Amino acid sequence: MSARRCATVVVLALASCNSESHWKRASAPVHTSGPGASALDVPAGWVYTLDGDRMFLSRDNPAVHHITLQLQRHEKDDDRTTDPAQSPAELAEHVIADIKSSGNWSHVEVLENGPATVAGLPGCRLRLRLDARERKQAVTESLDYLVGSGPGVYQLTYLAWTGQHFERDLSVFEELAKSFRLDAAAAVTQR
Amino acid sequence: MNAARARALALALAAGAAACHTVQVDPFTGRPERAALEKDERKLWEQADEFDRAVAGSRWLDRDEELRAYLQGVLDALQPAFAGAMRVEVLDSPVVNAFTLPNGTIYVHTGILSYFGNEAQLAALLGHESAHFTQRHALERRTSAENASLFALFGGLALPIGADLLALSSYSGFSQDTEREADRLGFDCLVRAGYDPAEAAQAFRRLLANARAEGEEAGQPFFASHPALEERIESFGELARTRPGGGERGEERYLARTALARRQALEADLERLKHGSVLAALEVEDTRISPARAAYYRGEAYRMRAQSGDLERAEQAFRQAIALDPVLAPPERALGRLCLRSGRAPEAREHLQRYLVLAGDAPDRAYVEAELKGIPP
Repeated sequence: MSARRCATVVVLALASCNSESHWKRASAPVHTSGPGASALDVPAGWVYTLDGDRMFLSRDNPAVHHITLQLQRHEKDDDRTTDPAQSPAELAEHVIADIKSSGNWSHVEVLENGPATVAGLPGCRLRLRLDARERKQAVTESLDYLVGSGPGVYQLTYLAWTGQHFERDLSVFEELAKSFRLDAAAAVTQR
Repeated sequence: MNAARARALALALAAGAAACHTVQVDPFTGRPERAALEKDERKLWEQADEFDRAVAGSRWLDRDEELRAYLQGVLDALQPAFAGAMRVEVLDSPVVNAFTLPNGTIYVHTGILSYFGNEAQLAALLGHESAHFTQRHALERRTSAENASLFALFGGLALPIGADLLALSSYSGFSQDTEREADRLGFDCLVRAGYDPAEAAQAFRRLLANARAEGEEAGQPFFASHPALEERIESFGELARTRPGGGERGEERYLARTALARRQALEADLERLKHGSVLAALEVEDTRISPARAAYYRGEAYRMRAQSGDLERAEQAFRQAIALDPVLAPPERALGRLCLRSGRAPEAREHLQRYLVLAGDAPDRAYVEAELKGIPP
């Protein structure tokens, strides 16, 4: 997810905080539906909302850390559209391009980029370190699981300030990623 | 004496010594509201100095001092009377853009360097930008409110600087007449400095090729306030016809001094999947990017664009790259993936295996191994 898209998600999430019907707090771990016939386990204590193809989760402060699950449909209007024939490596290439094109980061370091099984399908795991142009800003780290299936690319992202903020909920995110599933209709192996 | 005042004094001395270079407008006389303008100008310069400091403290600035010094040398040759009063800075950004601040700092994005083929074309750009300073075009907005609002964006710098910087760099306040004046005066500078007059039009042809390739001319900051590129190319062509032909082009020097920045900008465009920009940049014949690597880049751009016939073009380019340099690893991987995509499993396996041999401990080795594992026997 690009920084711009991330910012949009945060703004939307904060704006919709007033609307209780859109937000739910998981008092205990809860198995719930995500976008595009997907499902995952929301950890206890986290708040979450589903808005079309986007699901947003945070425990206490979206600006410091949050998790998103997005279905990026193949048919997009921009140049960087994906297609069902693309490999996991090419999906990762798209995410990196999206972030670099946002112009918000002076340096995007790929810490990890390799194949991974996501929802039982061939996907990829991508970990990035994002340095802001402005030196006063906190350095951010992100971890993505990507899988192309059915209507598009499912992108599960954990984004937090680097260091203890990132490490604090990393294991929570990993558990959440393991719980991520696609219904039979959506679970189509992409090349 | 603070920096703004020192530069003001330098400008005053330079302007006095160079009246013949600024025949259109005497920078410090001839305007009825002189006092008000001076006040406005002082404020603008202070804001511009503040902006310079903010950029210097950010990660936008390209730290290649040799490249900066080279561009500065070209600028000083174009505007000898203003040497010391104007400064070039290079921004590490693949955006195709350049802009001038009221205090005489010219910012050139590395992205725009990819599209020029020689020093004379660079001089056309710097001549244009320097004319904005020598003619004090920023003051033509009269009220500095517009400028202030732009600079105010950078005051606290609490937010990411990127979008704001791009907003400023468009410098959309200049009228098209002002831009035409800068074109004309910049052209005069270029001719006086001994460059080939025909290269001014060529510089803008390069930029037009990029704008067309990307299909986003309207969205390109550098083009936002400038007259249509076709009109400018025509206008430069007419100006060139009034001057004797020939002159220096400085191709070899330009390609050598800017090689690293241009290659990095090209690779940054590839990483951002800006296939149109890559294809346009590769139109510049450049011996410093090996023909094999250029063919690979071209193939990658076609693969990313993926319009009708592009995958065939990509395959052809990858094969060409392999033929030109059989030990260059990336085209093997790219060709292997294209074969895999089109169901040619044995050939895909052959190229992907060859990639692993050539690339050694490539960071994407795990991907390729997984792809090989997925190929049916």
